[in-house]
Amino acid sequence: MSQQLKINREVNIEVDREGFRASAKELGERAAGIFTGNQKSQMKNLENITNSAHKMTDVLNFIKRQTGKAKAGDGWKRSNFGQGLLEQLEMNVERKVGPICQALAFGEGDAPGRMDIKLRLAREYIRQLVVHYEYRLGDDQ
Amino acid sequence: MRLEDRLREKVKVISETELYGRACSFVDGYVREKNKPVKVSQVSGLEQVALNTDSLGTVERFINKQREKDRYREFYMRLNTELQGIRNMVVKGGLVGDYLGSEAENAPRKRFNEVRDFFALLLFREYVLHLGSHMRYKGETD
Repeated sequence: MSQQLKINREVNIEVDREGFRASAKELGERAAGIFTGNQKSQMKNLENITNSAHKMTDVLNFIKRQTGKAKAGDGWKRSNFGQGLLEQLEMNVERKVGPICQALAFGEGDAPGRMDIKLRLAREYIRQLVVHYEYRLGDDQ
Repeated sequence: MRLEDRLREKVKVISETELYGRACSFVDGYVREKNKPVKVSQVSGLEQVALNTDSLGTVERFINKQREKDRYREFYMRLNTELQGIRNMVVKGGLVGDYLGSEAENAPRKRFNEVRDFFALLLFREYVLHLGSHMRYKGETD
């Protein structure tokens, strides 16, 4: 089995464990109450940025910039969405990256490998979030 | 892996594993000590200069000019220390050695410094991106 396939398999195993999807679902549902009307593109942009990012910090920087730009109590700042997303994303990714690296026998020195896994986990988290966001948005309409 | 790809990968790793945390700590430490939120205007000029110039000297001149002004003197003094730290990081991270290859040992000082400053600018741009994002985030929420 190629290394890429092994990474995919280990990432999927960890993603299926308790907590990861539930956290993304909760944030996706929260987002459905915030990003409506002309703000719908925000979640699509988040997904696009995450899919085209070269490293996880590109995603974190995007969330920080959007949160910083938002007016108090609106958009990314409403219900502490931006801050919550940053915290949940970092926590969920950090918690999963260790076991995956262990399963793949990645050492501490294998920084590119660890970064790749982090980015894959971030993509999966955001994908789940957007799926739940769109599902809930469709429900409300 | 081609040299170009290997160097790009190294810059990416340093950016994520070293510079991101360093930029966040810089902003958090400054906000905590000053006990007031940072302003975007503090960093937007630096972003323009760092991202649009091809010379580290231009960035250094900009920082030195800002240090002469009262308003953000301390911020830019600290930032200058960060820039020097990033310069050292280039050498320690092996970027200069990788780029020069066998030429590294006998390279004249001028050539060594040129290569070092080229990579220092690439890393400093990454640092400024992290810094700007964290400042915008903290500037509004603190």
